[in-house]
Amino acid sequence: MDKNLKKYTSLFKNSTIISSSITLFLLLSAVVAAVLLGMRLYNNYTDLSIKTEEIDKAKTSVSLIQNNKNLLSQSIDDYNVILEKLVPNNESYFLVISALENLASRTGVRILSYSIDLSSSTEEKLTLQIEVEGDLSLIERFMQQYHFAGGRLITNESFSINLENQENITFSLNFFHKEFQDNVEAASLANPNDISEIQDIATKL
Amino acid sequence: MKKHINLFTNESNGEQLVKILKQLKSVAMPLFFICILLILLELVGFLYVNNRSAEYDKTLKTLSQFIEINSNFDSKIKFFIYKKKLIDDYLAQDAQGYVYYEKMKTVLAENMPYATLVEFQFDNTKTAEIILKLKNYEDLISFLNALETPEFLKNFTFVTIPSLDPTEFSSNETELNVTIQTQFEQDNGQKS
Repeated sequence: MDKNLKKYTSLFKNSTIISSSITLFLLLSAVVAAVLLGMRLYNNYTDLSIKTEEIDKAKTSVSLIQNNKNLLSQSIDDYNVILEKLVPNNESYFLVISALENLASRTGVRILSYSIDLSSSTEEKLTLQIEVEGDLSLIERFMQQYHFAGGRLITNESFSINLENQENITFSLNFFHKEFQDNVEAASLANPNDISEIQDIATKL
Repeated sequence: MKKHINLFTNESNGEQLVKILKQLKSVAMPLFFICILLILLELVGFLYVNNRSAEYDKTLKTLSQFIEINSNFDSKIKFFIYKKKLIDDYLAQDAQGYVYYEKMKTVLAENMPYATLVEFQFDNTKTAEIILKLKNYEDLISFLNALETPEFLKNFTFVTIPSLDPTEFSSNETELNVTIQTQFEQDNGQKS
């Protein structure tokens, strides 16, 4: 037993063994440190990449605001009031009747009757079959002005007009409503044409 | 008495251990320096990433503040763009009938002044069914000739006459209604 102990003691006094052991220990420590630092660096780099994406998004939003601010800052509220009139968030009986009355008074035709076309109506579109009466010039004015003369957006997908008999002409008119949904892409831009179109529409309401 | 040779002698173990450790040390030293170099590089990387991260934080803060201040305007722009797009989409489904009705009257006046427009049916595929009134047989011949001319045809993608019976003109007093089916060429840029 004593002999073995002496042997081990002598081994630990050997300089080669001591230096080799220290070197191995240092290597092991360096490897562990390098791996841990590497992992930490990778995490920091990933965070940096996320921040880069956030900055890109924020920059797009800022440019959306800046670009549109030049174009819209003066009258955005007025434009939005017009747009809300044209395509309201919600539909109501009053709005439709009011639009039909405006349409009749602005174009001069007489609206004899109207009925809801359920088969053509959808969640955001109310289709009405309206029967109108008037002379040819009034019917033509109606055809020319129906889009906005009612005070809101109205479209027509098909029609038939008999020029020899303007009694009881039926038009199929669409009224739209849709609630605003905040899914506009940050890169979207209003352009000068949009503004001039809205201004032009405003004169027709 | 038998003699035994002990192969696991302790004497040789010590020397072997020293030998192995020497070899390990010769490999471990360069590896250690490589690791130190790697750690130094990682520290440089840390410095770079942390500096960039601090810069990004500053930028993000500035941008976020700008967005926050203008958040009200931002939502107004979004409302504007959303509703304007809806209107464009809905108007794209519109027949724009008046534009084509006027166009048809002009085309008739230029190419078939003797024909009277009686009925005009139109839909948003730009397809129309038109009934024209002709007063006599000569008008019918002129109408058929005009129908083939490039000046008339350039306005349409197709023009067809579903049925025609010229014998209906038994006398000069008879008027003939002719139906033509057609599709207008897209008239870009015209909005009523």
